[in-house]
Amino acid sequence: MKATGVTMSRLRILFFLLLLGGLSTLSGAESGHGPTRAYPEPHGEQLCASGCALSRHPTPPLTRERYRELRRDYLEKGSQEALDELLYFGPQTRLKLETDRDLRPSARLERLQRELKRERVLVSFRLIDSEGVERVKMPPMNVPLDLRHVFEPLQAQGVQPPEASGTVKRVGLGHIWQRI
Amino acid sequence: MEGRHSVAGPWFAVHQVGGGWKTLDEIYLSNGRQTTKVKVQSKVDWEDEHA
Repeated sequence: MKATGVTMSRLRILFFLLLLGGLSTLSGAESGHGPTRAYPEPHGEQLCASGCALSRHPTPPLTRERYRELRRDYLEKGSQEALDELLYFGPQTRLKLETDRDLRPSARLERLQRELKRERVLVSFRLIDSEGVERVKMPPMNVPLDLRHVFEPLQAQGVQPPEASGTVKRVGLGHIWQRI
Repeated sequence: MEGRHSVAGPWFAVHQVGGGWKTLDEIYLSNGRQTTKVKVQSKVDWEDEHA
């Protein structure tokens, strides 16, 4: 499409206004760009739990054999390591449990099912100086596990408001792996 | 300036959920006029403490 003279003039005005907007963020003023929001951004053909841009690290498949070993070790022996690994596999464990005809009700099974329902966490982030001033801050953001998010804009004092991105993944009963 | 580009990080960590702030790194933060050293910190909490 060929731009007319009037259209080019409007484009120049728009460019100048956008440039002013960009300079205002470079002035060092406190961020006034609105609340921080989280935007999901899965990438790759599979949902990448690591969030790495250059490589894909989805959670490996939970084989039937390994599931049976973990099920036995946790439900029959109460192994904490087995519980951690079942939670690491999260959605895969949930699927296996749904079709497992050999399960018997038990307190351990209830605990596992209860823990598998935890699918969201609050992630907070900050850059804090030696005087305790939070120069950049991301308030607690409610995000699901295993899905990369972009967080913008972060709240900033004296610097251009940055953005952040990352992923969180459960790796045990009380532990979360994070890339940010 | 189009697109996004990384200026720091990424950082990787394993958090104890509800364990408070964890320091991932120390970096220098600058606005072109002043530079200050800052700690990069993160924490993770459950959305809902009730199962």
